[in-house]
Amino acid sequence: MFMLDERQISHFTFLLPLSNEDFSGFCTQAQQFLVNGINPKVYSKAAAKLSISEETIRNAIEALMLLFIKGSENAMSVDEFSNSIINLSFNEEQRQILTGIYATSLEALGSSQQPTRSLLTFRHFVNLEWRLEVQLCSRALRNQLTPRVLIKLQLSDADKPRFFHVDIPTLLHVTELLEEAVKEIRSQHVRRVFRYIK
Amino acid sequence: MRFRFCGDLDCPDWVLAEMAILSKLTSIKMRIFVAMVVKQILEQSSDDDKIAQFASDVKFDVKDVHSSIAVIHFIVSSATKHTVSSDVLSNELQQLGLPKEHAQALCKVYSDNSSRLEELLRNQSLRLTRMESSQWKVNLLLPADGQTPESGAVPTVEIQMKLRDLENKSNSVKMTMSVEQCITLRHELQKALEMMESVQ
Repeated sequence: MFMLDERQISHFTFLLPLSNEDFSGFCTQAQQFLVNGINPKVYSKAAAKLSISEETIRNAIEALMLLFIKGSENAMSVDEFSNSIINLSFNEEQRQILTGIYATSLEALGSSQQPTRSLLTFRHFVNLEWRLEVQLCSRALRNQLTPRVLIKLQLSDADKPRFFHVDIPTLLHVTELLEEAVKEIRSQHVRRVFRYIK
Repeated sequence: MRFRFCGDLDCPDWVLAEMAILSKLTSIKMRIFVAMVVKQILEQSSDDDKIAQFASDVKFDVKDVHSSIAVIHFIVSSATKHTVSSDVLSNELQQLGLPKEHAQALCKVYSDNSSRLEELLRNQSLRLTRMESSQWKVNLLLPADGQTPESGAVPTVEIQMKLRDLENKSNSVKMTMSVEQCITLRHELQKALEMMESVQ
């Protein structure tokens, strides 16, 4: 069931008196914009053809796009979608057209009952190996004592591990930050949040 | 509770849970089992038949066998990692609830194999590249077209090194150098070797 506010519903009023042909033209246009991206020339051409302001056309198409997006966000099947648009002021044929377009858009987006994939993908930690090295001398300076740590870090996105050196102050700083994070996880506030989410 | 063989950290829960299962063995069977697992670690091989036979001997089911192998693997490798002496290991295992004879059996096998285990872990340490082999050749370059015949033959040293990088790929590095460069390189490497030996 979606919630559309007054302004978005008012954008549909332009579409209601249209003929079925024009209406389905707008709907397919909205669905194509979802798949291929918005093409503003379509707005100006349609505005010229129907002699209406470009803004009304843009609002109408974008409101249709919003309808389809909300449908797939809530993982609605085609029947659920047609049930939810009943209380919008479309007539029977327009509802059928909308439902038909929604069905094709589901196929196009490749998801039938699955929710849309999350747009945020985080890299996960896989493995870390370390080695403590002390540089004693080099060609440039014959007497030194430089400790550092060689780190081999493997993350979930790359198949090759990364290598880097860390000097001791940076390493201490990083461990301090990680200890703070661990302390935060055990704090009262975070524990309360976990309880509520569970 | 901080344990030395866990690197001064708490002992993991699953290790504690396994102690009850390990205590069901007799101490002689325990020694045989630990020896089998250590052999498996050292040779990096997995002798499934022997393990299956042993499991049916002591009436362990498959899950128990796998978890006991994992626990012994963990104990032995982290004890080697943190260079824990076998008395300390025996004490700590008894604190965890392993009976005295079992702990002593495990520690005996551990101390017998400790140098070989250390060697194995040292080879598994992180290293960027390793040198496999090196070869050298001295070439004598005769005067070429455009050089005066009096400049004579010029000796050069050609060195080829075979390196192995982390993905176990073999790289070959070839280089040529003049006599002075070769002498300087040898001198510098000698100095580096002296530095390394002074640290030891």
